Amino acid sequence: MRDSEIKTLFAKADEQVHVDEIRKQKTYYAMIEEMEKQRTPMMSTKNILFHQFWYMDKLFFAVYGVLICLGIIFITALQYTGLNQNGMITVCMVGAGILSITSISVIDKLFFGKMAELGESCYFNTKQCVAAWLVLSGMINVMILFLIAGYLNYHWSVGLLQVGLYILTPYLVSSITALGILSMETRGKNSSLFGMSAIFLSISYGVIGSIPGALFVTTLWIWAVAFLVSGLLFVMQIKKMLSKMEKGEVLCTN
Amino acid sequence: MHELKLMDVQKKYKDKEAVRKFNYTFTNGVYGLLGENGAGKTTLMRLICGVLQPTGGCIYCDNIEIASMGAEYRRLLGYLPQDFGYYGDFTAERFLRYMAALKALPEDYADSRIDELLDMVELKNVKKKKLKTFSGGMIRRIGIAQALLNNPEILILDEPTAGLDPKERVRFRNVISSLGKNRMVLLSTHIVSDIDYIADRILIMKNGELIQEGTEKEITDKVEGCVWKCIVSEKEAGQITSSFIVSNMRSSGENVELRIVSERQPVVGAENVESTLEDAYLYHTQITGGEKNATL
Repeated sequence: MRDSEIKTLFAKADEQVHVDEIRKQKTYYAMIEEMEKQRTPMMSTKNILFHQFWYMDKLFFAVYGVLICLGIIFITALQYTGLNQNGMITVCMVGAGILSITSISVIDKLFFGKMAELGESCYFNTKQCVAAWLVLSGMINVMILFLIAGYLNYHWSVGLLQVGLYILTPYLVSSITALGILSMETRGKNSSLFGMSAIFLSISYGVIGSIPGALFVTTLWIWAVAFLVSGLLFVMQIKKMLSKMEKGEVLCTN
Repeated sequence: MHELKLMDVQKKYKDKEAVRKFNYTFTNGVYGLLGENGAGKTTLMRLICGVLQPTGGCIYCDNIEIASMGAEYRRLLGYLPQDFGYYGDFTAERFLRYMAALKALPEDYADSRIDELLDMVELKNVKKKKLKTFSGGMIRRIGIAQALLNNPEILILDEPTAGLDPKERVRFRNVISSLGKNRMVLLSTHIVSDIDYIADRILIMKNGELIQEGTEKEITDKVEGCVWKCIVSEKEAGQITSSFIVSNMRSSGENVELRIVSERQPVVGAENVESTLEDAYLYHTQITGGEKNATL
């Protein structure tokens, strides 16, 4: 008997067997379930984040936290030194810039370096870790900036819109710069670049704050334009960084 | 069983083409990737892991493009990079726990797996020690352990034996050999003896291209009749080494015994001998390139 004849015989025999579609579906799902059980078990995203945070190196978080506390103490202490309103705004601008660069340099310390390549091959990969930290640090930073804005508004009688623009614009500009550094193939020189950019930008904000009339209500439209432009550039920079991470070179070389 | 298909995979870095039109299909078994430094092995492994994106071609896992599979593909993976990064202040156990979190392994599963793997790589007694105090071989072993944490169905090891001592190498070979029975293991090296016995199939890369593929026997058979043995004086040996590929050299009294890889008889009196994988590797990576064609 040839193969084709055997096949035909089997096909004919199958036709006579009644197949219950519901039972067929049930068996199929039971099989899938059984196969799933045999695979390595997985945690939910919430648990991944919790466990990752639990076991990760918290030194950099501590540095970030201490810096925030020191900044708050420093700004509070400054009101007793006889500093004027413009001086106070300038200090807060510098503080906002440093806050942003510090939080992004934490990403570099935690997820980049030689761990980036290994991390990228994991279920919860480097890109997801970076995105999670960007959201978390962004929330913390915005909260702190709100505190600063409230403080400047209450103690130094600066309008909320004004102070929002004065501190958010340098925050965004510094974030764009720091994210730019993170997207560059620097071969491990990120830390010094973060440091240099923090110094350069702090001096720049200091210079801007000391320009006569720069912090007047009449120049607010310039700040509004700068804020909008930097907001747009910030979104573009995040997209660019994630796209560079997707391509992978930046993860393997830094 | 998974099938990993590479179709015309290409990777360019600015002006350098690291991987050129690579076509191959991997299934279960141990695959040894051989090639000189700079042949494109690491880039190929990074592409297979999805760490790098190809500039041309596609990689499919069970006929689905790996880029679109995302986490589902990474779930199947275990990867040990060549330059394996770690947090020096972490203990071995903490590092594996951190990696287990990244691999989304539940705590109770991770607990038993970590114990099992630390035992396997013989690092259980130093699990509380910081990684910065570990030797190169120990770091490599912890790297192998992290790659195996999620019991991967696709295991990719880039130069896994770098820094291991001979005893560790043997143990590692045995581990890989047992792992390859029910999963896909791809390991790269430029040390032929690392894969000589354990690889089911061997791939030889040169300048980003796959130049040879087959079982050890298939590859060595291709150079049958191209391996010679001769005993010459020290002076002659100097001339021969500069003109031919010498795969082995051994002094015997005032003379030198040479093993030469050449398409034709290098010196009068040289005898043909059976080829090994090392000879075949040297033949394919050096002679094919046109180097060393001189006649004595």
